[in-house]
Amino acid sequence: MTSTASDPIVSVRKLHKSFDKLEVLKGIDLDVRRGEVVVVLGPSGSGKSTMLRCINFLETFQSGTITVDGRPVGYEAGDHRRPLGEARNAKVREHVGMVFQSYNLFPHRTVIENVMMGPVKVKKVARALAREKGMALLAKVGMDHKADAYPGQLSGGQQQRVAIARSLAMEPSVMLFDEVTSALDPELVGEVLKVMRGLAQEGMTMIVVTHEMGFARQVADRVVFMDGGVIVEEGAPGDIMAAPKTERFGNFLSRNLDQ
Amino acid sequence: MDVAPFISFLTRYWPVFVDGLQITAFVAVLAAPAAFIAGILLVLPAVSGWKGLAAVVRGFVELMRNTPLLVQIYLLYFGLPLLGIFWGAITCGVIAIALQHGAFLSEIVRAGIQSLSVRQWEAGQSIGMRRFAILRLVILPQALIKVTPALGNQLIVLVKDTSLVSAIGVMDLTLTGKVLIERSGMSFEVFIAVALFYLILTTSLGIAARLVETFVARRYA
Ligand SMILES: Nc1ncnc2c1ncn2[C@@H]1O[C@H](COP(=O)(O)OP(=O)(O)OP(=O)(O)O)[C@@H](O)[C@H]1O
Ligand SMILES: [Mg+2]
Repeated sequence: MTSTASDPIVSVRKLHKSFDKLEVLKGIDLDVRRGEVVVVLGPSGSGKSTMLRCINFLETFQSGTITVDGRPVGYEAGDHRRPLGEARNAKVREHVGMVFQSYNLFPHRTVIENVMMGPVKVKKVARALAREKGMALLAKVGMDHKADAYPGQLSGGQQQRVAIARSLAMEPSVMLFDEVTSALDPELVGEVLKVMRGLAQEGMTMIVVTHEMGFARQVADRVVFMDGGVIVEEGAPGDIMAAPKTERFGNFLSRNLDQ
Repeated sequence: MDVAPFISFLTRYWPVFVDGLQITAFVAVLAAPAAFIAGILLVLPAVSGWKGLAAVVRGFVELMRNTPLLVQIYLLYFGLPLLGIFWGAITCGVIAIALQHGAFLSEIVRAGIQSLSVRQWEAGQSIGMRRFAILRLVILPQALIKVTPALGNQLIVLVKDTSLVSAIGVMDLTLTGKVLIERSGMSFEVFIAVALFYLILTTSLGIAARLVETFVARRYA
């Protein structure tokens, strides 16, 4: 497969997803190019988390296609929609980093062991090398001084920074962030956002679901507004956040202006 | 009962008791790890999503849990020869104990696994781990940590249950006691002594289990 800088890293086409009878995603189309930072905004229940979870196939979906780095996600390319199977799903997920609202670190492993787990157990990197790279990543998120602590001994902001390092350790093509600061005390939000800003500046491809309007305005290359399972509006933050084209986005912005 | 005659009784038969104690400890040392491994193996089908095997295992676990251990020991010891399989008494006893306690342990471990958040699975998946690796490295260790007190409890029950192998002629502490009664006629003293030896075994295990619990609690709180 040949790829150029303008090829999308993530490509979502006509994505439909239902939980039983409830249709949550009603035809999502989204391309994310290499190095692009896409911030997804939208009211609660609009399907933001579900969309992110479909991209690394934590959720199955009924129709549409997703590719990451040209690889099909969840189902064979073509008309058959045959499930890929566990091994290939795992392979795709190696290239997709995901950071959760609730950190989800492994509490029985130290910070550095959390970060080394993926490289050592999935990529079969030698432990010494994985440790060295892991320490460098921890330094990058400002957590190298806690390498031998257990997650339970850390603040929420610290745990979240370790979770980011754990994802980065797999050297993913794209990072997905699902409201990663929503569970944090207000004074801890900044340290996590700062790490994310740094990643964006280094050229990491990112899809960020957040309620942090400031982050969207300052860091996003593109803002996507979702409501009711569809993308209602998208564009550069300077354009659409200043002058929303739709009433729905306008109302959403004015409701969240104080943030 | 005076203490002095009891002490002299104990010293007189000490080597005999020690022989019995060794057999009891031997059976427990074989059966406990075997039960642990059986418990883990029995829980795998259900949590790995192997539906057919899980149903079979479920039936097996229910069967084991709901029939007396003594009956299972008899079944192996007197039943297997009818099939042309001749195993020694200790082998039959160890296997029966391992299977029944494995069944109970699998229920304990399963409860531990189910108490963990599905997010731990998802965190593992997100770094590209496969289901079995997540189970082995992320889920099982945490589940075992959670159920440490119950595991300690089950271990003590197992040690006491080894006394049932006396019923098929294994010369453990319990059978040693029976034989000594016939030899000495001091039934009360004998079983006080036997109970004491079991108590020493189980309380030291109980203390060890507590130590492990506190260590685990301090480290992973
Ligand atoms: N596992 C599930 N089973 C059934 N319904 C679900 C499940 N997960 C999400 N939903 C429903 O799907 C809809 C979209 O949920 P989703 O979590 O994607 O929204 P969201 O945009 O991330 O909202 P929020 O801002 O509150 O996180 C909601 O109505 C939710 O109740
Ligand atoms: Mg959400």
